[in-house]
Amino acid sequence: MTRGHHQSRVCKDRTPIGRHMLVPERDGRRVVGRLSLRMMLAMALVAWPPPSFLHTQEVGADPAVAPVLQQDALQDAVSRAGRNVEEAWEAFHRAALGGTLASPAIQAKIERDLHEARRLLAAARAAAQISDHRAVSTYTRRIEDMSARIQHDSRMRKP
Amino acid sequence: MYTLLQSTKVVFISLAVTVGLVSITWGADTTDMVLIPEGEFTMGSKHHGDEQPHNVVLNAYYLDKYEVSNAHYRDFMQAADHPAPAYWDDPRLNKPAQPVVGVNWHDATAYCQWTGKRLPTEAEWERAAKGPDGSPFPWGTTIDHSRANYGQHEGKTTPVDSYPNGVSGYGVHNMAGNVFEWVHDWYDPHYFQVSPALNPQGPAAGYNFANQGPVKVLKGGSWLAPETSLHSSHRFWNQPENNSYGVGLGFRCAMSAAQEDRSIVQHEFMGALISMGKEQWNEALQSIDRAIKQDPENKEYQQTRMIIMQQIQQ
Repeated sequence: MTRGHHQSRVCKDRTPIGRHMLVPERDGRRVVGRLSLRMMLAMALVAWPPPSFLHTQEVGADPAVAPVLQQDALQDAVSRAGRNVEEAWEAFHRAALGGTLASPAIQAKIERDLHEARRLLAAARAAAQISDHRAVSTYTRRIEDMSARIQHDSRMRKP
Repeated sequence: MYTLLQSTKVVFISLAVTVGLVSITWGADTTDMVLIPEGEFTMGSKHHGDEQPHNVVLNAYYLDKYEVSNAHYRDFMQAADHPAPAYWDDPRLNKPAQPVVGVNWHDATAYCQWTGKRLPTEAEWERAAKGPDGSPFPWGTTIDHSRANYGQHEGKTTPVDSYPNGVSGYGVHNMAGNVFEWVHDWYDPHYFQVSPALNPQGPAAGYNFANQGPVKVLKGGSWLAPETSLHSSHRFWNQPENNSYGVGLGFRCAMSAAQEDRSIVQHEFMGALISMGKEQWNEALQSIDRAIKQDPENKEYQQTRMIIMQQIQQ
């Protein structure tokens, strides 16, 4: 028998691999197909699912867990939006009580924006209840922009 | 001619006054008011565009030395059956000596009228605050917490006679801080550019900002306001029917010096009528003569004197 020459023969090895596969010999090493046993073991370890504590959960990986996580994310977004509106209101309230608003026209604009921000917040909450991700995202983004504008306008000084 | 109708009127009025059915305010009480003499001052400042400096001349007037207190406002509520303002039950703000807060412009106007007075114009308020020296703050040129209640330093309003170090040159208390004060005038940011020099009363009508309704002027800053709102020329605003943000919103009253004289004349005339009702003709003559001395052109007074003289001569 020459080096590198493969001969197929029934393997007398009593391991499951040995029993059910042709195991050609090469250089005295048992080879299954083109892969060594060592390589097969390595591939099996990589493919095998690791213990759960080593595994980060993927959305959709476990149908029972995913909806809860999605709802939590929506509620977080709505809570953040609520805090934005609160901070905007506080900035305006401080300026109104302190007599530091730039003009009655600015005050009227801020009051309209606050009213709109509260309306959007109510809409975001309703959208979160029915897990409408896109709507929640749209509303909370608008609330964030509007709240920033209210805070800016509240801090403007008279010319 | 002492007609039956006239005699009936005299008897009715004197009887009504005697039994207390009619409470006549002979004239507004000037106790705790300061007389601001006729004179000129520079209204406004360079702080903001709506405070353009300009010269103003005012007739003499009286201004309340103190902001209207909860105690006085309670008297008004009870006598006039007027509803309580916002924060009436707030223990931080409702002690008798603290200024009343949470009132709107109509509340303030009603109170002043009940006392025979009125709200000051913005010009009257500012002149009283600046004092004879025209200083930017009632007491001088710089501000600190020993002079006024502002910036939430106290966390509440303080009694109306607090901060003696902050009294204006005319002797008026708390013209800076404590509570924002309603005045008579509508707010218009451009008014100072066009206002008359003599006794300006503010624009004839308010400006409807962004369809939110016209607003009245507020002066003086409050216990919540930063120091930038406390200089005597500072102008803020609120809708007259609104007491929102009223936790630091009150007022004080004013009276024209000429109005006070008018009240004295009316007092004398009523005195003459009462004496006529009692058929005390000599006393009636003395009263009507004092009234005519103050108002010699008044035809009603002259006719009344003729009636009295006819009775004396009979």
